[in-house]
Amino acid sequence: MVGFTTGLDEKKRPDSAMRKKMQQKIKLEAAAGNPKGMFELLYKGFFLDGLVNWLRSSFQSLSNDEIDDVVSQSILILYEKLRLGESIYEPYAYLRKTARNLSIKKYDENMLVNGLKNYHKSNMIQDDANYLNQRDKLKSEALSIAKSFLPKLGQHNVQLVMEYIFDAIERNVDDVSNREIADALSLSVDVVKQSKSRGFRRLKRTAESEGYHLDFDYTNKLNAINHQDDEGDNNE
Amino acid sequence: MNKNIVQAELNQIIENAFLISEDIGQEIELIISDGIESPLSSEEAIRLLTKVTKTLKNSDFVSQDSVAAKNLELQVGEFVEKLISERSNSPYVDEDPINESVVNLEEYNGIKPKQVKPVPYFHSRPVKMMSGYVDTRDINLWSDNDRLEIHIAQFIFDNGRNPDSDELLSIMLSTMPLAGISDKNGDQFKIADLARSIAINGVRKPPIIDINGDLLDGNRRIAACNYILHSDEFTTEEKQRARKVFVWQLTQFADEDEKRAVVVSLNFEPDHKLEWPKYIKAKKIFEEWQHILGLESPPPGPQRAAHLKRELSKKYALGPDASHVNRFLRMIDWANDFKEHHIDNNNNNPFEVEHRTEKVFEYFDELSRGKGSGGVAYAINQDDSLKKTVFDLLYDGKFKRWSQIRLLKHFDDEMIEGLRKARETDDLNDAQEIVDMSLTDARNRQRESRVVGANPRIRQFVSWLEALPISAFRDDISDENLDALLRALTLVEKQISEKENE
Repeated sequence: MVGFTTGLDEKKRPDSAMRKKMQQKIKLEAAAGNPKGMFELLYKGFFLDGLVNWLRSSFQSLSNDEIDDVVSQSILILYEKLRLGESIYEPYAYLRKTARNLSIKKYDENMLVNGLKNYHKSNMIQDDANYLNQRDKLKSEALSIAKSFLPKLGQHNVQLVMEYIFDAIERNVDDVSNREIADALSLSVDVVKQSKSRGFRRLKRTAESEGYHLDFDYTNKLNAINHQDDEGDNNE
Repeated sequence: MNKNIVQAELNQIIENAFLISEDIGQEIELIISDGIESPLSSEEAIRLLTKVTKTLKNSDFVSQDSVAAKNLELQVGEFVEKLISERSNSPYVDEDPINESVVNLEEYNGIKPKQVKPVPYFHSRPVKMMSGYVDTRDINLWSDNDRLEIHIAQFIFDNGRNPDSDELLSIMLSTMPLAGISDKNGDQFKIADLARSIAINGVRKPPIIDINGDLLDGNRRIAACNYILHSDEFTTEEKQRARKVFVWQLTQFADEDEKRAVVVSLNFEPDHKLEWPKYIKAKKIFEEWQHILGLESPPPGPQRAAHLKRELSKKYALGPDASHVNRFLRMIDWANDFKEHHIDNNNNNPFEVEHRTEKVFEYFDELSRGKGSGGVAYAINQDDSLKKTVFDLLYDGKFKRWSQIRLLKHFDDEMIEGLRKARETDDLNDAQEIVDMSLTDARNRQRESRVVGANPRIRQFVSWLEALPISAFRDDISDENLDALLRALTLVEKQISEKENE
C-alpha cells in the first residue's frame, strides 16, 4: 500500500481505488466484530478529521461537544449495521449522511428546548410528547401524499426507484446508495441514476400541479450529477 | 391539518428523499482531502477519539457481543494516545499486508471457498489458488491486457493518466469515445455475443484474480458480466446469474513470477479450442425448431412464429432477434435438398454426403438468398436441372469460392451449358476454370443487355460471327442453333428487302 504523510504529499493521497479498498477493509473489520479496527481505519484514513470539519462548517450552531457526540453516534450506528450484516456499500457516504441527519435532529432539539425554555418542566415533558406525536402524524400524512404522486411519475423503473427511496424514508434510513437500489430492484446502477434524476424532476412538477410548492431546489445538483438529457421529459 | 404545515413537511420529506439517495462521491473526496489538509489538533483528536471509544465500549450492542466486547477491552486513554501517535509519526501503511484480502471469496449457492485441487500448472509451474464466488463489480479489469494496448495508449494520450476501472470497462464495451476508433467498429471485443452466452450458461471458465481483485485472466468475461448488468436486453434472472462469478484467486503468498506464469499461460499460449462446425450448430437449431413446431397446435401464425424464433435464438445465445435462426433454417433446407439429391439421385454414400454437406455448408447461405425475381434462390428454383448441376459442382468442389454462387442469378442458357460442361470435366482445375468463366461471362452478358442497345449488340455479334472459324459451323455449333441462326438471318434479309422497297 502507498504510504503518505499528513497533509503534505499530494502524490501519495488516497486515490479512488485506495478509498474503495479502505472502505472494504472497514466493512470487513466491523463484520468480524472488531469495532476498534473499524474505528482505527476511519481515523487513519483522515475521514474523521474531514467529517468533523464538514459538520462544523455546516452546523455552526452546534458545539464541538455536540459534534463529537454526533460523530460517535454515527460510528456506532455504522458499526451496528455492518456487524448485523446489512448491506452498506460505502461506509464513508453512510457516515456522512447519518452524521448530517443526527446533526439536524440535534439542531431541532436545541431549537425546541430554546423555544420552550420558559415553560414549566412538567408542561415541557407533556408538550414534547404531543409535539412528537403531532410530528409523526404529520410525517405520515406528508409521506402518504408523496407516495400518491408515484403513479404520475411515468416509467415503471422511475416509480420503483422513487418508491424504494420513500420506503427508506419511512424506515428512517439515513443512506440509500445507487448500488443498493440497483441490487434490490435488479436494475443497473445507470438505470437507477437516470430514474432518480427523472423521478425528482417529475415529482416537483407533479407536486406543483397538485397545488404544493416545493422550495427545496435540487435541480442544480441533478444537472451536475446527470449530464444526460432526460429523454421523454421534454415531451411530457 | 393546516395545508401550509403539510406542505412544509412534504417539502422536508422530498428533500430528505433526495439527500439520503444523493450521490456524494465527490463530496467524500473533498471531505478526505480536507481532513488531510486540516487534520484535527491533538487536543481535538483526543477529545473526539475518547468519546468515540467510550461510546462504542459502553453501548449495549457491543457489550452483548462477546467478540466485540473483548476487542474493546482496552485502556481508553492509552489506546487514543497510541492511535494519534501512530498516525502522526508513521506514514500510512497497510499494517497487515500478509493477511490483506481486499476481495474476499464468498459462499454462494452452497459452494464454499476452497483450495483448487489438484494444484493447477501455468507455464510449467504449479500455482496454488483458492476458488469461490465474488461480486462481479468488485473485480478490477486488467489494464495490461495486450488486447487493450492501443486503446490504453490512446486514453493516456488524451487524458494524461491511466484509465480507472470504470473507464477500462467502458473501453472494453466499446462505449469510450477514442480518436481513431469510429462507431463502425461496433462491439470491437465481441462482448455482447459473449454476454449472451454467459446469460444462458454462466461464466464457465473461472476468471483468475489476485488477492486485490485485479484480473489476470478473464477481462472479456468480466466485461460481459458487467454488460449484462447494465443492459436492458437481459432478464432479472440473467442479471442475477451475472452478479456473482466463480473465480480462482491467487493466495496472498503468490509472487510476481507466479502471476506472470498465469498471464503467459492463459494469454499467450494457444488453447487449441476447436469450435463446433456451423453445420452441426445449424442442425441443432433446426431440430429444436421442428420440436417446437410439433408442440404448437394449431401451427403458429407469423407473429407467433417470430416470437418462438426469438426465444430459440436467445436459448442458443444467438442474440435477441431471430435473424440467425432464420438463416440457419434456410441453410438446412438447402442442405437437405443437397443431401437428398446426392443420396437418392446419385446413390452416394450417405456418410460421405454428410461430410461433404458439412464442408460446403457456408455455400447454402448464398444459395438461400434472393427468393424474389433476380435472386440466386429464385434462379436455381426455376430450373431443376440447374439446381442439380449446381449441387453436383458443389459436391465435387468445383466452385472455388462461395462468392461465385451470387453470380448464378445471371443464369442463361450459355451459363447453364458451361456449368454442365464443368460437371463433366474430370480435371478439377479445368472444371473450376470453366465454372469461373461461365459465371463471369453470364454476368457480363447481363450487364451488356442492361446497358447496351440493339445496334451495339448486333455489331458485337457480327464481329464475333465473322471471327468464328468455318470449322466451328461444322464441329461446334449444334444443328438446332444453326437452324435458329438461319431463321434469324432470313428474318433480317426480309426486313432489309422491305426497307429497300419503301
